[in-house]
Amino acid sequence: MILLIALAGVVIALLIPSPLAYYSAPDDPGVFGEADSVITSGDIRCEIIEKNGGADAPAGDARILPGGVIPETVTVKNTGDHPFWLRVRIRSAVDDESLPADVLEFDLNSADWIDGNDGYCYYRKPVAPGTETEHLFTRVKVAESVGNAYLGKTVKLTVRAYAVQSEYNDAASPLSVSGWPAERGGGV
Amino acid sequence: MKNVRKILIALGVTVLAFCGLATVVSADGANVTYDGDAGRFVFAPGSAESPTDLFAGFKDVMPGASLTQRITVTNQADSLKKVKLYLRALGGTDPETAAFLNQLTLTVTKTVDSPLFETAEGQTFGVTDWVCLGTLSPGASLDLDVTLGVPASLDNSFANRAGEIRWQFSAEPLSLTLPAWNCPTDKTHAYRVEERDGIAVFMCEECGNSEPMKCAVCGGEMRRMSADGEDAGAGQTEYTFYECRNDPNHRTDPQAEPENGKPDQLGFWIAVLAIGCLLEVFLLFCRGRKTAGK
Repeated sequence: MILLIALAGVVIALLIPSPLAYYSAPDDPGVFGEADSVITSGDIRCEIIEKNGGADAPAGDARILPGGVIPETVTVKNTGDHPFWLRVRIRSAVDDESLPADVLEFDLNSADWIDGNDGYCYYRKPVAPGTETEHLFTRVKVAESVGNAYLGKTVKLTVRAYAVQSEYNDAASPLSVSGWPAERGGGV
Repeated sequence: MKNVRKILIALGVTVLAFCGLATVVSADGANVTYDGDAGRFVFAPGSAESPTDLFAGFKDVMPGASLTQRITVTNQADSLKKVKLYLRALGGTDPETAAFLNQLTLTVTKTVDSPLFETAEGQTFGVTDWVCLGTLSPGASLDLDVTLGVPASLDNSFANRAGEIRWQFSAEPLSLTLPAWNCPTDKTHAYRVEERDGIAVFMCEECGNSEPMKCAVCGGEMRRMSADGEDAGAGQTEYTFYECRNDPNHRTDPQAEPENGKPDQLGFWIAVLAIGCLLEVFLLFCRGRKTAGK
């Protein structure tokens, strides 16, 4: 009998609201707000800038004899918002056939560029957004030893730039950078 | 709000990178403010993409990045109500950007605590259950550190993309009990609340120590109010609340007075049940002995 009375007392106590707060995940929150947040990814962009130097530079296609020199300055500009490592490949061809490497001579700027001996010239340091590299070369010379081999021929000079982000891609030298893109078509 | 742009990429560029990851803590913090008086949340700083954007530090991210930014959650209610805050993620809002978000990871951590929740690659920052952020007193705040991981393998197809995710915050105002007080001489001493010269005062019934009740918001003196909002004066009423003399908005909820240290109801009846059980066992034992003695 005493046990029944005590048990009834506990039941009554549990039914009476307590001043304590009971904590639980809200099933139907009285006050809530929604926040829509956006994550965006970046990219890198570059532009090859070609300048036919000087007032004496011929317009359009240049006619040149063996031993002749054409003023031609090539730089690359970072037109994006992120810095990148840069390397450039120079190709020359006649009738879609590559010319031997000794046909055209370039005054490569070795102070700012490294010849990787793999067909690429590497810019020594990352190119910051909005900046332009130092010139790759300023003139193109036809070797005197060419002779009449390419008489009347059209030489197509192609410069291609390849860039990879330098953020989270530290390297002591551009020659040890990873992530270079694969060869692509097109060019200047 | 989507912001997918297509950019003409110059000759031979790539965003592929390979290097050790380095976590960068962004200085672009965000704020979530619970305005209890208005009954709403306010989000800042926002952005051109979304007025409630909390990810100011997660813009223009690059492969290999590990970025952390801080979100400060504040209880800005003027009343003395504490608030229990909850958060849940609803994942990406646009299925078209799911492929982009699937490449990333997101971890939310209450500073120095274990992660509240984290999403793995391929989960599109999926839906989570409500997570309790904690209980905040008026004016208090807590910090959440949100870390975004961008894999180094993220290729050009994800360059210049955007992904939007939705978070929900919930507030559960808690009824305040009477401010706790312990007698400095002996914390087990029972106490009551009196009003002296219009100021609510804790009074120890054992040794007479007293201390004015202080407002939890501004530290000002409190006065006793009756349930109808009138100054209850020195007399005791069954249900009262306490109001700050500096700012009437600083007030507790109506509640019962403490009655000279009496235990709460539930504890009392549990004790009654325990005593009843012991007494019943004792009586059964006595009856048994009596029967055996016959």
